Amino acid sequence: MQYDYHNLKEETLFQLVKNNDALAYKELFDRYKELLFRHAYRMTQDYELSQDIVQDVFLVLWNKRAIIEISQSLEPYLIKSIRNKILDYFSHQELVEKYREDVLSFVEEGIRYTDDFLLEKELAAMIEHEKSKLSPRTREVFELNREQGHSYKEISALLSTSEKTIKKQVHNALRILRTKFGSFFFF
Amino acid sequence: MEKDTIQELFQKYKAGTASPEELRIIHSFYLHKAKRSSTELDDQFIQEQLDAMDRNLFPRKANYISIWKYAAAAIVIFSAAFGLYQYTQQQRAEKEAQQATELFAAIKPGHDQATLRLPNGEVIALGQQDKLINKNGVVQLNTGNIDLSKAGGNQLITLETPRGGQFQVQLEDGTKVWLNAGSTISYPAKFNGNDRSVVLKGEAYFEVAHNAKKPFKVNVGNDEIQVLGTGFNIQSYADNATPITTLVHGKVKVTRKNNQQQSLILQPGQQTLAQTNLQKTNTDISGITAWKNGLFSFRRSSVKNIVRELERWYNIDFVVDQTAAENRLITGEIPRNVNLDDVMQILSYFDIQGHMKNNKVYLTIKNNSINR
Repeated sequence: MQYDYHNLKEETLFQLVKNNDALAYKELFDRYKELLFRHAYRMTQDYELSQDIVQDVFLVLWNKRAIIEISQSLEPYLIKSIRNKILDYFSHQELVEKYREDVLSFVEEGIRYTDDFLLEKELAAMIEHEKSKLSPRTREVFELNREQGHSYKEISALLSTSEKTIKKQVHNALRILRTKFGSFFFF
Repeated sequence: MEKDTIQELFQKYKAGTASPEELRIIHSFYLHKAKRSSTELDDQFIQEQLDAMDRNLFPRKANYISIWKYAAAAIVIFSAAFGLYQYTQQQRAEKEAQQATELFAAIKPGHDQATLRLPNGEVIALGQQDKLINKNGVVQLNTGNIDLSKAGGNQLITLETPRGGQFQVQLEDGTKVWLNAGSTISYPAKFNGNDRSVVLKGEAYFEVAHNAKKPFKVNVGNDEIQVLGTGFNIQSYADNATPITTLVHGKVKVTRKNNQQQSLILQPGQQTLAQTNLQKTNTDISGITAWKNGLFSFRRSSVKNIVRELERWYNIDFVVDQTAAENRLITGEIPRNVNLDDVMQILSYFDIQGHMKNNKVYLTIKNNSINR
């Protein structure tokens, strides 16, 4: 059975992953790789390490697909996984020296969260913020396609742009919007 | 809390013996650090990283069948050489593209600026801080008032915008004129006669104050546009075949002084055609007046027309294949206050690439499969 993976809901994709569907796994990776990489790089300032961290998170997702249970959305799971990986890395380092500035300011400000839920929500909001935003052009193409129901061919004629470019822009928009709002709006 | 405490906490974390409360402190630290670190990331850099991860996680399978080994090896060598060639070509192209973007980014959009020539010979440079209002024969400027009421006769004041400039002026009768780039308007300090006459070159939008007793007349090329009170746009650059008058609201009468004198009345949403024989057509008003509201707005505009507008606004010349530029139509909108690189990026979505050479922008319009 060949699915149109681009248009599948995230939870459906994860169910497919559980059924050993590698293409569904690839689609999930494509939806999240940029977001997670940007975050990891921001935290570590090391691109090779950041690649490793993101790859690790996804390797675990594949290797343990049978036992991972995800109640609602994949995103909180992925964010927690990446945070734990980065913390593992921090704890391997001579932390106080390498992150002297951060530790000092943290100690000075004495901010402390007492609520795990709040902590995770804030982190998720921050990572969300890293997402590249839709350019006006991509938005226009997306709206013509998804909201007004024009085909790629019609849009490419309408905007005098190649069909290939239009397709790319719609997929781009979908990828960003899917991770942004969850997958419920687009299927 | 001490520095050492945090190190201890991390040791516990590593050992897996941190309490929920201690974990919370570590997670708080994590969030704190995340909030403090901000890095602007280059799109190309990100793409390279993402591609690398793709290759690592999803390597392409190479299934050579043994008898094809040698042939395959030959192909590999050939394609490696070809690949290297392509790679260097691509590298060069990427580098050039990057340089072009940097150059375009340095080209700033136009802004409020103009030159005011008074009948007494005085020339005043107007900038972004200046406002120009005419009242009772007095020219009011931020720097002071100039009384021209005694200047005698109907000597004209001339307001001229250069390429890369625009300016707004309020005439003595309360009429407002938005002057686009590379345009000139001449008007008297006071409308003394039976009508209110001005002379225009280039492009302007008029919001004419109503006065039934004194018709407002714009003389532009061979056309005379006569109105009582209304809003309209006139475009009459040197590269326009004839002036194009577009009516937004109210009513105007256009008279063309050719061999035979032709006249017609425009209704809102109509414009005169760019042809010798005076005729009118329906049009999209918002597109015509977008410039006055700080937008480039193109509705199936030819690249040729777009380029003309860009030349005037960015004060830079473009070189482009005229036939291709005439045939490629584009629809879209972009603010006018952006540097040229943003415009070039939008154009690149339409498979139109540009590079800078000798202070000119060279455009390449690729054949678009759909338009062919």
